[in-house]
Amino acid sequence: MSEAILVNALEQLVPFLNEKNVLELVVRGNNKRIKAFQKVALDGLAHGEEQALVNKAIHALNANTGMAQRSLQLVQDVAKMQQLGLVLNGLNLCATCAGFAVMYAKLDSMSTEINRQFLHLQNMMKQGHDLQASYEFDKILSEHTNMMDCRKTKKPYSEEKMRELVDAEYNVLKLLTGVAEKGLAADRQNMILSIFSMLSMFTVSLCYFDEQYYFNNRSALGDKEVWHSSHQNWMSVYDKLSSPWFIEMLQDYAMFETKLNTLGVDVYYLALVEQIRDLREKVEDNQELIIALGDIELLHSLHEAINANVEQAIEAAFSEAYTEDNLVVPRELLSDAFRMAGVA
Amino acid sequence: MKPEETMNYLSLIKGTVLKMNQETFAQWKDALVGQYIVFSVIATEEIGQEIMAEKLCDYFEKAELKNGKSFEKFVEVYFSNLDSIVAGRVAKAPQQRKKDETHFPMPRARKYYEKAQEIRKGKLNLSGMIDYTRIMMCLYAAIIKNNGKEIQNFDFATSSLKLDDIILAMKEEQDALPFNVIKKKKFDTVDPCGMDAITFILAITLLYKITGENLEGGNENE
Repeated sequence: MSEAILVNALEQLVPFLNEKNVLELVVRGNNKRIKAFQKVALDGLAHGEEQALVNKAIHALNANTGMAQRSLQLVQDVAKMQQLGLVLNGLNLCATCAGFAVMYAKLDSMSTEINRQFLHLQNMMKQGHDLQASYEFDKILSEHTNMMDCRKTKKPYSEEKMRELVDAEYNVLKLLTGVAEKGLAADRQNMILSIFSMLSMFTVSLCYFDEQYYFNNRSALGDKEVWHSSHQNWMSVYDKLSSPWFIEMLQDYAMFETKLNTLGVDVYYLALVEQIRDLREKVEDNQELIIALGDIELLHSLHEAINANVEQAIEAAFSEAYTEDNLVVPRELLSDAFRMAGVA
Repeated sequence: MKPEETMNYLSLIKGTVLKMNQETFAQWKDALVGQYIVFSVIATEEIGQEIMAEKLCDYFEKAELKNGKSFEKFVEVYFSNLDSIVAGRVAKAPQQRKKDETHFPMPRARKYYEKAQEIRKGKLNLSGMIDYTRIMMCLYAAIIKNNGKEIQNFDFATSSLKLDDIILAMKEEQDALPFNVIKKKKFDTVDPCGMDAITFILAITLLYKITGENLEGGNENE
């Protein structure tokens, strides 16, 4: 299998092109609600007629997303009223340093209040003593940033350090959901934002940890359970956030604390429920990919190739949009789009 | 957001019948034609959205003349009819005793019921009719599921709205008469232009509008 998939050169993806010389990739839309097969042609291979195919492929992509245009419009309308855009782009934003900075600024401003709620919850549950590490929201944010930065500078965290970060983010998530369940949050909108942001951070960290754990230990683990013993436990957070009480809390917030009508309430809570499902799938897909590829370099190359192609698709879509008015695509607009798509 | 126009049957029909997707329209048509709306000449399979829309306009026009009441009055009666089958079966907030410091939260179903009453008191428009119907029908669906008994909580998801069960349960509703001597059905739809028949037409139309909204695929023909 390792010989068949691209490692460093795009040419190695040629065997995967379809009869129209177009590669189909599964991608998630910026709003996290739409999964599509993105059709891309490979750079260097796209000349003349092939270039036309690229354009055709992108049109096909747009046609696919156009099917859900009305839903998108509704989500955008709701997003204007809420922080839904930030939440729905959570995973993409958390995947890169530049992206995470967008979330960090917002979350950091809420951290004092969130830490106060944690203390309140711990006192209330008389768990202060049990939970020896008093998790602080801002410290986890800064640790996540540091982890991202270390990856950027090619000095990634060790497996042990990653495990600690995953565990810390999991515990903060537990505290956040505890605050939500006990109705302790003064500002429910911020609480929901902090839960979804932390869930995105946790998902990114867990995916990284899974990669490290598998490739570091697979020879020792053999055919036995190849994931960390705490993995099941960590995954339980997705179940907790898919449970009826949490969904009801999202519905109640949208119904009683916003000006949304019932259709708006549906758009709001369904988008968030789907976000939870998508994040869980992200971890599970990543696990499958790790096992299928069996090689960390190959996995990273694939991620890079996908990112490169997503960049191309975004750039082409912007260029097309601007060509009609003979305008040049503003660089910052493009880098903003890259950041939102997690490829910055 | 563009301002909502004053509510009349034309606004209802434009916002529901003419915006349904083909599948929802076919189901809605099946639920109405033959039982509440009758065609003498056109075969059912030939009835398209425009024909149904026109027919419904004629129906409401005739109903207004026959009952000597406006469409707004029909909606008022519709709201009141829904209230009569839901209100008594939604748990109330526990009475707070003066000495008792414990705060009892209001049951979730009651919170939504009160929200529906707020909507009912507001300006009449299609969005309000949809919102009121959505909340009250979800509450009613939970009551049906609970064998007609009082509910504390309910499922707000549109998937909880089983339309056939709801319409059937509404038809079976009985008036609470003293000493239970005579059992009388609450709604009498024998007169096709009567207030109860109008309630059923409104309920069916709004229910299909609500459940026909497919947020996953954006299926309305806009």
